[in-house]
Amino acid sequence: MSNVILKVENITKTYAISKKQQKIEKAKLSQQAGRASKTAPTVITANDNVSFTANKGEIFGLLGPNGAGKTTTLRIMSTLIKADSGDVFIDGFSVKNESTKVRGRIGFLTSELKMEEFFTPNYLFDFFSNLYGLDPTKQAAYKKEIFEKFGIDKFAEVKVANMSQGMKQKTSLVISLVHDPDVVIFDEPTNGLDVVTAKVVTDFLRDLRERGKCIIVSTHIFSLVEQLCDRVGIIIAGQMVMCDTLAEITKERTMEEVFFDLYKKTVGEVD
Amino acid sequence: MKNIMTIIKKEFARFFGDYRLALSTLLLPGLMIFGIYWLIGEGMQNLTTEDPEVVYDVAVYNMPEEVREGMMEILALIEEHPELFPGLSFPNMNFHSVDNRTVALERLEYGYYDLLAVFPAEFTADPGRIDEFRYPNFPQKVMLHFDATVQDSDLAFRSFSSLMSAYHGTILPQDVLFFTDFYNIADDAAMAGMALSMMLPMLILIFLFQSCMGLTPESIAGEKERGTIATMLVTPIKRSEFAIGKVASLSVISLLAGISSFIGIILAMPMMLGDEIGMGDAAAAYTVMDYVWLLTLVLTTVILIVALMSLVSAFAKSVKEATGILTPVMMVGMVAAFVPMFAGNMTGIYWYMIPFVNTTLALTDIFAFDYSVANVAVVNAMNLVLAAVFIFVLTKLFNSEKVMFRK
Repeated sequence: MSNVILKVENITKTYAISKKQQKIEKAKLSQQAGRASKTAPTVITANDNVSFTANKGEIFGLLGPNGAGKTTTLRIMSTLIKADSGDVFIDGFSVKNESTKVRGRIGFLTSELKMEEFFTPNYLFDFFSNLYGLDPTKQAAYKKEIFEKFGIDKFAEVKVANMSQGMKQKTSLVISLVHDPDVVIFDEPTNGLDVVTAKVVTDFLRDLRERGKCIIVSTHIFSLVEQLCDRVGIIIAGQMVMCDTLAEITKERTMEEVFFDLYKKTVGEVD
Repeated sequence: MKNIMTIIKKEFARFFGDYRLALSTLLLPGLMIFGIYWLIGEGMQNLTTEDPEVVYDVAVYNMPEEVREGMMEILALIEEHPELFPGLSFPNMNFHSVDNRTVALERLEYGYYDLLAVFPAEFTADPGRIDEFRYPNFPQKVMLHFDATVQDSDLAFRSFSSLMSAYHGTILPQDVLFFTDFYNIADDAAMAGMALSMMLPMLILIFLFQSCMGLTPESIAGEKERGTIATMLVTPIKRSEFAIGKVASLSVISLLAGISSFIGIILAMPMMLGDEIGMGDAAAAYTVMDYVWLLTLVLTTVILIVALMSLVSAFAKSVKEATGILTPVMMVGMVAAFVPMFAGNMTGIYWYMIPFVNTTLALTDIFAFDYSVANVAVVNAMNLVLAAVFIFVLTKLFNSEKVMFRK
């Protein structure tokens, strides 16, 4: 029986670029060609035919520099945006055609998704539990357990506006997982966190893996990939340039060495 | 100085670079103010100008033939030589001689006549008999009965009074042979109802717009701007449920805010208008059903306003932009608040299908004790249908990544 729970199939995503930016791109092309370019690109490609799979009970890392298309990939997976072509299947459900079913099976964490500052962790947990249509009695027990685990019980009635960055991240993590999803999608999980909170988060992700969950993390931090991920997909300039187990990718080298080799081949020397 | 210019340039670039913001801030307010003032001007003129197409039916009791002929001569003279009477014009009036005052008065109440002019028995307009009506005697009194709450009756009264004055002026420029007095047959409640129908629809609509404006951009564009809306959009909630939930909750809160302002105005109104308006009479004269229809109108209008504002707010990138776009939208809506000024001419059912104009018209009708349930139902249906369309589009916007994640 296949262990694959997430399948990304040839997704391509482009964004329209402004007239002013088109002129700049045209000038760039002209400079490269050594003569005036007649046409200018009207779109920028964020994802170019990206494909990969992820399994139950593993942490899959999407590694790439800023602007490589990692967040776009995660946004497509989480149904927030639509791919121009290609599809993503989560537990067999298409993000294109069965987005509501997909949303019930994923937990998406990103710094772009904020919590209403007026509310407390206690209220937000209940609110999101209701949105997922979960049983209040079961949720009350789960809330107690998970709040204690993350130490949120100590600030359960503090408004988000009055929380530290770490408190917010913990709350955000718990809120996005109220429904105990099978697939957890996490954009830059340790960004902006102190070492203690970062460890709490990474430990929790390992914990989830132990429980058979599939975790997708996007990051540009090599050490995080090396510590945490079972398999890695390296995205550069919108393309999936390598996708394999961590061991297969690194072999005797560090993740950083592998990455810059690939970067040089794909884009060129780092300026 | 250089830094000041740098800051100024940056602010100008931010403002003029955002075409929608610049347009809604610079152009639309001017257009709206022009539009509103033009409408007010038109409305005021409508209120005081007789319709040349209308013929007023004036019942006359004891009116001597020579008076009728004299008045007709004046009307003919004005028509032939308007240059001799600058600014003076009269509508068409049909004089109906009546024998029974009581019957004529009843017919006036039912709107069969616009005016009843009662002359004294053996009324004379003979200037040679002026001494009979000099002190210590009294001049003859012509009593004009009319209904001030009915526009045609009110205009007929004013026109006939002027005509009598013109007639008197031609036979006796100085001495007083006769004078006109008047009796308004409308009761206190009807008068108060008329006053309310002129003011309250406008106030209600303005307060509803204001209360919705204070809440909706913040709740939709604000959530979008702060990134909290996307947090909810990654849950399995349907976009339509989300849109309906937003509109319903904002409607209730806006309604409460609107009611709070409304109560304040109702309490302050006797102080503004004086006790003689008879607010208590009017309030007691409205039936439970009147209040029920009133409430349904307010409710469906709030839903419509919130749905419209939610749509604009979802489209906007920020609260600032939403407020910028909504201000002229709100002004357009408020133009409808001046509709009572046109009410006399807006009786066709199609007027009850135009958003916001229809609400004001229906509210005016209810306050003036002159409404049809069918018209009110049409207004409510139109409001709800339009709100449903807006909610449908809002649902589409919540699904649109371009709209929801545009920076």
